[in-house]
Amino acid sequence: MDLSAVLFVCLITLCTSTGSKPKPGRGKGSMWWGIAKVGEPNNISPLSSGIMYMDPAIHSTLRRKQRRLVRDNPGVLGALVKGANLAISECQHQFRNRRWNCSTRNFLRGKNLFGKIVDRGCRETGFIYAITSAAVTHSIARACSEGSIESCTCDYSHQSRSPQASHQTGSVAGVRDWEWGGCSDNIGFGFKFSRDFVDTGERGRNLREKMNLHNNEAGRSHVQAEMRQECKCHGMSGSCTVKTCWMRLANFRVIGDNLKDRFDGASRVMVSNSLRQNGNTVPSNLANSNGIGMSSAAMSPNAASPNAFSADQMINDHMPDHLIKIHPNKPPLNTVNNPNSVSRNSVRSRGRQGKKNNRYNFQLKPQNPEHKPPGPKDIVYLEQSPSFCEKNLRLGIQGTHGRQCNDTSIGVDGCDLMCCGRGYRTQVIDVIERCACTFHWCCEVKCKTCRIKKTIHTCL
Amino acid sequence: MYLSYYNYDEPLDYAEEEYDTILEENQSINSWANICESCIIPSTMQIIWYMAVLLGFSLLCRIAFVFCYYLPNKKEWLLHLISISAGCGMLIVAVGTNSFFIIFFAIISYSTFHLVNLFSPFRKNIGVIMVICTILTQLCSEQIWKHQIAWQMIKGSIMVVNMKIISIAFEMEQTVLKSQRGIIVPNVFSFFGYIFTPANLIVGPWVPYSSYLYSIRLNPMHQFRMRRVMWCGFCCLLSLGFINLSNCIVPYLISDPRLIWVRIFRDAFAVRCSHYFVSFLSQASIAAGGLCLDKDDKPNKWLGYMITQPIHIEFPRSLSSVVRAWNIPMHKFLKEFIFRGIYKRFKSHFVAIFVTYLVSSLLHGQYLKIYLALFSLAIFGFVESKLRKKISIAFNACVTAEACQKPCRFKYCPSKGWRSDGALLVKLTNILFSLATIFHLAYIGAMMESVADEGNDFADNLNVWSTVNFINHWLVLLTYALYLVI
Repeated sequence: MDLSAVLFVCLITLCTSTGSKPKPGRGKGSMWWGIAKVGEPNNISPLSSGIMYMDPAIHSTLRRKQRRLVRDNPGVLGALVKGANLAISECQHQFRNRRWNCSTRNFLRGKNLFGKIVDRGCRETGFIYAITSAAVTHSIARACSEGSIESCTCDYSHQSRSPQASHQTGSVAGVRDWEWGGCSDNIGFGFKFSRDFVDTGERGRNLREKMNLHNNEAGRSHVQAEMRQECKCHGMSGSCTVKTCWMRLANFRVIGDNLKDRFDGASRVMVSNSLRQNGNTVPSNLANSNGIGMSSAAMSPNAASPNAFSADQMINDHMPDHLIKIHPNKPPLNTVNNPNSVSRNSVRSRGRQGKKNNRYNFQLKPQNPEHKPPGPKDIVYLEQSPSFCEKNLRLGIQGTHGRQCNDTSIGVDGCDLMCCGRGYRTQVIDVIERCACTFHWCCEVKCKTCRIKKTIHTCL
Repeated sequence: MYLSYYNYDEPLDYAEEEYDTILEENQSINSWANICESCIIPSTMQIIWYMAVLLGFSLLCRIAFVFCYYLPNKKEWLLHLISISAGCGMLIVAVGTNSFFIIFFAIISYSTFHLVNLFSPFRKNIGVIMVICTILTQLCSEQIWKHQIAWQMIKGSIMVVNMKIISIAFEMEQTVLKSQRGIIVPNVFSFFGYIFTPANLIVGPWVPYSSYLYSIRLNPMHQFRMRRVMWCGFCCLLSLGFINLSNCIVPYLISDPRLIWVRIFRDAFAVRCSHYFVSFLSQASIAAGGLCLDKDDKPNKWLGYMITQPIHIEFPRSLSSVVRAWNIPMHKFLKEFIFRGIYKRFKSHFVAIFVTYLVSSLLHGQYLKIYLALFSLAIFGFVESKLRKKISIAFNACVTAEACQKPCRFKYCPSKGWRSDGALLVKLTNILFSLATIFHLAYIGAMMESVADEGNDFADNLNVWSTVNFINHWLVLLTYALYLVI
């Protein structure tokens, strides 16, 4: 079974489908989410790598390049599984009170983990992409710092210079004088790996792929932004003779919260992204030819060649300034492209750097021209979300029938909104709980078991 | 039609709550492995580099001394020159171009010495003049350069340099008073050699001029023994342990305390650990540099000349004993040059203590937190020792702030054995005072935490204290009332 042939066929079908149908395909970068279920059927030793390489689920979920990455970076697989599960649990936590509750019950046998909602380019899809990419970045960085990935190491050479170098360069500059120590390259590695791994299927050729790429990048930059530096001074009675600094990666809950905020303020981007608007006579069905132009153009992002027939170049060249924010200027790219970064060498990927960065070099345009263009941390989407009220099997939506709701809340978790006006059933059930706990010296907590009546409301 | 489409893939009753457990596991960001990787290893690596610079230059200087000792014609200025160049080299490596500040300070004060020497009426008060001069220069330059981070970094070394200059001035004054001659200003080489000796240039401690000369003139091979290497190694290990306690372990173990007092105790402990770190680092560096604190000071068998005594601080007898054990050379400096002089002049214990604390806090530069902490400490300690003295006289019991002398002159003494009259009661009282001291120390220390940010706003600094309503200050007021009543 030649996999590349299959992929090629898929690719062609995808291309043709995007050309003919208005609904863009989901892109191909989403199958790997199934890795979350790797090692699940027999829960005996889910994370021992030896077994996992044999797991057929890997072959069915990972693309060839992803498998190569996993093979070349031993120890990464465990982190990926952890990361995927982290993403699922965080997504379900963030959406526990909403109509769409990030259910993964649609997953079976290689089908998409989050169900067919991913086929649509709606907000929820954007969130899924962002949170999965963020979770991979986070868990790879964590695994790096725990030392469970062999190909990434903490390089302390740059910080051993810090007290000296920073103070030689100038007493004029402000806070930047203090160089931080700590394993910065962990996050660099996580970022780079996530790009290589998560963005494999997304080439940015059509708008949907661009949306996925953007949301993946957004997830990663949220992780990077939450990497905190902490410093402390030591010295004779409170002076700062010796200053030590270290890095801390924030709890994933914080990143989940931030992404949820971005979800609430997500910006809708245009279907035929700004190509018609800028006065350029580019036909509207250019999605395909753009894609070809893009993939063949292995130019550096800033080389403005006049013959470049790629959508990105055109946007960069002809868009009015206020609409353009070229992505390479944003911090994540700069950090990762830093030639001193260890991570680049550690992630053994064969892709060319120039081409790879080129696909991040685009700016999506908001549908409402009065809105700001989406920033690097914003979540973008293409179409309105379905209401999620009724069961829609074509979209893989389960509906809110039978969901619990809160009758006093006026928010989305309130019964009015959750049940979409269908009304709800109120039940009183008996719950057995531990109660009236007392602390006995020393050291015991004794509780009684109580039978409490609890009222639950379920949507009809 | 699409009903079947749907039902092919998914059984509807798939257990959905399975991820709730994973959620909890991932919360444990404060796990040991994480602390180790994210905090302990980076801090340790940074400090090891710093240690290598500090100890390396001291050692280099020492080795050069050994070579010079075997030169045919010994020149003392050569030794001083070695000391100066090693010190300057270390400064440039450790603080870069900012070492200019320190050199500037040293030159200014040396010329002041000569200037004062020209006018005979000033000669007898050169100590006081130099105290005022150095403090004024420091305060003025701090006013100019305060917002530079470089200043924060070299502040510690400038303090040590100032203490050295003041001590030279007072020693010169004493020779003047004794011999009734003009001041003999130390020659350029020995003066700058003392100021720039690498062993205590950056993290201190202050050592007297005599002990510097001692280390220069003695046979260097005599001092260069395995014993010092051992001291150095143990001190380094201790200081590494304390910095990790201060940076990582203490804040992460008690990461989010609900009770304000738990936070206060934690912060204060982190501050003390940070102080132990600096102290042991400086102890290691003077062990490597072959300095001794004082001619008649006995070194600890394992750790060399003690700068601080953590045990006496963690389990204190009284606040004044904490002050004594906090930074022993600094305490000696203040006692010898400031306290005694003032006491001789004004014959008042209170004034002497007040002026000593004033000079001590001014030596730290413009630093409101230090002023608040030191003056609170002064008041608390003063009240405590007064009260304990009064109690000890009233009951003839050994409850004074200072530990009783061995042949106990009180009637009730725990040192006379457990069985003796009232020993248990006296012991209990002392423990009670110790607990009060620990309480006060936490209260004062917690304010010193978070040194890195530049909050010179008065209210900002008092934030911690105001959250507990200045309770310790009220307590001390109450204690003072008790003292007056008794």
